[in-house]
Amino acid sequence: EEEDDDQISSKDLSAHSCRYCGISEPSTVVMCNICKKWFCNGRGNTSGSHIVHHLVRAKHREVTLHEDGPLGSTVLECYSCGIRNVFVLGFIPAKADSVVVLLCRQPCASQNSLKDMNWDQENWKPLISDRCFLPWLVKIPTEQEQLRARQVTAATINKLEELWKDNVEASIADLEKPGIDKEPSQVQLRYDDGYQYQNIFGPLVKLEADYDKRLKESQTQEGIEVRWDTGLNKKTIAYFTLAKIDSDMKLMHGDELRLRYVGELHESWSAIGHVIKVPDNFGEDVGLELKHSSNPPTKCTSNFVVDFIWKGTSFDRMQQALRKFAVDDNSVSNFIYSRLLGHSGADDVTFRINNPPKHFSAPNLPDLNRSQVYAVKHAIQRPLSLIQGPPGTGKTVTSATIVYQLVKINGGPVLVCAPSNTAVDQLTEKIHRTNLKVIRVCAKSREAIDSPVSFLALHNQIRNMETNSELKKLQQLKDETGELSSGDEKRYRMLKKQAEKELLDAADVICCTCVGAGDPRLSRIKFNSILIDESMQSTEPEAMVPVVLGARQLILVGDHCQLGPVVMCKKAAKAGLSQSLFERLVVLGIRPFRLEVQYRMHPELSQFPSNFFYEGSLQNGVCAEERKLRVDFPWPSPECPMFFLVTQGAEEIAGSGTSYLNRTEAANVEKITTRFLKAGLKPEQIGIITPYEGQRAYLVQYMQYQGSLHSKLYQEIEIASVDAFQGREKDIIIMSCVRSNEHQGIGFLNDPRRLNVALTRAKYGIIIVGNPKVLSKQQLWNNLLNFYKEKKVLVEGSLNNLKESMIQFAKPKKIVN
Amino acid sequence: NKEPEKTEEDMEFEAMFDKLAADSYQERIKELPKVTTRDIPVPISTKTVKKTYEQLQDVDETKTDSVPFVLMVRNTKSGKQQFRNFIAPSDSELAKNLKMQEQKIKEE
Ligand SMILES: [Zn+2]
Ligand SMILES: [Zn+2]
Ligand SMILES: [Zn+2]
Repeated sequence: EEEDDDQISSKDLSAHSCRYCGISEPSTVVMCNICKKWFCNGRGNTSGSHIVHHLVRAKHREVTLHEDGPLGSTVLECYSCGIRNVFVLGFIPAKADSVVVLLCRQPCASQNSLKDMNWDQENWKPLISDRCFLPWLVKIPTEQEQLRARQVTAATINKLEELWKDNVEASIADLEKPGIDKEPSQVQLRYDDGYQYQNIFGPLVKLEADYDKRLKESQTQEGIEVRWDTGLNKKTIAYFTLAKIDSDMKLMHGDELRLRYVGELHESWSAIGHVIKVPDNFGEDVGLELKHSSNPPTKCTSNFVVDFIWKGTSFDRMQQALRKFAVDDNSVSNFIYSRLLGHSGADDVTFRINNPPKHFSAPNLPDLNRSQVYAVKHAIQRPLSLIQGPPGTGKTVTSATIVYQLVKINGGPVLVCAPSNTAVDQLTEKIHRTNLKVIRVCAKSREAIDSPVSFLALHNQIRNMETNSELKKLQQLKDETGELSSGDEKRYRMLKKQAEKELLDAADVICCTCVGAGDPRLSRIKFNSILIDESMQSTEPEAMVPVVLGARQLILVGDHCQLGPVVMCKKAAKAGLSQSLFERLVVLGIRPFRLEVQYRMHPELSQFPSNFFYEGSLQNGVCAEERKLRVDFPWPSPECPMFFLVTQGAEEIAGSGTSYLNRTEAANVEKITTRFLKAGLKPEQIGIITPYEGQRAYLVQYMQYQGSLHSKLYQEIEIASVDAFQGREKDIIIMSCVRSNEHQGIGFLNDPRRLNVALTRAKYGIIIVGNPKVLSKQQLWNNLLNFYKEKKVLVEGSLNNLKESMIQFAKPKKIVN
Repeated sequence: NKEPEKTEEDMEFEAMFDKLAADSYQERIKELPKVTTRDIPVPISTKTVKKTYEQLQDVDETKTDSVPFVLMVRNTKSGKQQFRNFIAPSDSELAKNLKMQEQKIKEE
């Protein structure tokens, strides 16, 4: 190590030396245009050159070559359109001439945009190849130079990039400083007390919050064009298209954005609004409802900037819940406190119920099957219960019935939560049907968003209260004029608060999202009974937000065999934040009560998931006849609406120069899809699942341009990742596997929970397109492939002539976890 | 002969790289209607582009295993065409392609 210091003493390092390894030979370095740091084009022992590592980790995409490099000081950009994103840039040579020009792949290098025939369009090549810049643009440091330089691993690079997010001037030496790069404590199975629980989860929530904040705040976009409109509520709505959002970040209804005007036709202006429309299949527009009195420059339409506003509310509420759990004896009952900490054993404790119900169903809901009745009985008698609902087993109806019975036995209010708004809305609707008084509490920012249960939302119920005529008048005035005098506003708020209290006090059931349970409007209410649906999809701190509102009886509904919560910060996920409370309680030995009859899938479709994920316990509540698709389709085995289409097309690097895709699979998916559409299926009946973003993008395009039917039809078909389909169903699912090799990394194919979700979305039929040779290396896939083979639905050939495939499988590797 | 075992961070980096590239491409597809492109005629006499003395020397030094090329760029400020000489190794795709094209023409 001392030797290293001799070789590269920091004094000698010129301004343009590689920030990772110190190499400073001008012909080998490139400057990042965004942060002005220099990096070399050598890769050391990593799988990409240092400059590419930086661009990827920092999500920067523009560079300038060094003045003394092979090409002199040059900003890399498309000769034709000027775009500088190096990830879409490539070059084409002239035919039979030694002149070369840089062009972006789309549209400039594409077939119909180049008019001069002397350019050799066919030979477009990306500037980055094998995760290095082409050596004629930036030289690769010699082996000797690389050996003499500081040796950095991908891990070090990652840490340094993380450090730069807080301190742009940090250096490798700073990584050695104590305190930096401390790994957070791992979550545990058991905790001494609420303080220890808080001490472990608090920092993880903070990590996730910081990550989320950085992500949002780095998404500012310039050059936005705006179209103005006015909503029914008289508020101004700005419509615009966002070009680039990190695909990790989903724009959601209710998100806050700041719109700024930076042009010269109007004085500078900015205002905050809520997103009321997000891009979907039918358009790329974002709709932003501006707050009152923002006086937008509606004469101007261009030169706007959009900032994403980070709101820490949900994280703050989790931290508050953790604190309350630690310090407030009344936050939960003693029993639940010790169970959540993993203290007392898993012994069964039941309440005595004085007047046990005779019927375990609820008015206007379907009659329950045996396992559902037992689940209701089980839940209402216990202070803590886990109800496991495999796909299609009527989880929502069971939950609604439990809530109904709880209100009948103990009176209200019962608090009902789920992590997502969609799940809450579904449950709200079912509970409302039983004639209980239900209130849906929405975040203020979501009040403008329509949902099937809007009429049950607190803010709408207040408007419809007959009794309060003064509030009604003020509300009317506010709606008409947009604003009230300050006196009226004060009075209005006071009356509104009163009305809210009145309504909430009279409610049998209050429904909201988990973080919504931290709403100040609910803080004064004590909830003895709390039910959390889809609870495997919430992190523990998220689930704690409702729990600490007084839980004496807690019912968690979920399925630990399906996907868990999404945690963006890798550090936090690794430390265990992505494990749900449901899962931990199962590990602690609390037996989940399982619903056993599934009503979604054709019996043939449920067999494999039942055997491999639910110990063969799933029974079918639908028969083959009810799930027979009455359209003409060449199923290889007519009684078994599924097959695996063996497709051995090479996986390749997509034309953008980078992302993997599989053209043969895409072509097969298109043929199958078209066949279904021609047979009379509607686009919304079909779902296409693919794990790989490159393949998703390719499929979307391929179907639109190559599909033999109208492109509109293909546009309306949902093509997404497994995760996007969780909790939902489609009549037909087509899955394109693309590949499965060791550096898949994202864990699509080796996470059994994800495979379970993928296999259990379809009601009528499922088709998997993939390469058995590669997939069979994984144990679970090997089982699946053998299952298809035994059913004689492992096939190859064209759709009109499917034949049983005799392909040999690979030996599965031992699963290393 | 297997590649050395990749670390978790390497695999993560590769996945992130793929994602960034795919995102970039998709974003580009969305922007397409807004993009204004300019036509690019192939310069007629690139072979006679004046070279600086230094560059001439460079070429002299070039061994037979490299091929001289010209990159056409647009000056960021003036928007004018400019030419940058560079050398590509003769086993590079760029050089191979040129050789092939020249051969084709000869055959015709
Ligand atoms: Zn940078
Ligand atoms: Zn370097
Ligand atoms: Zn271009």
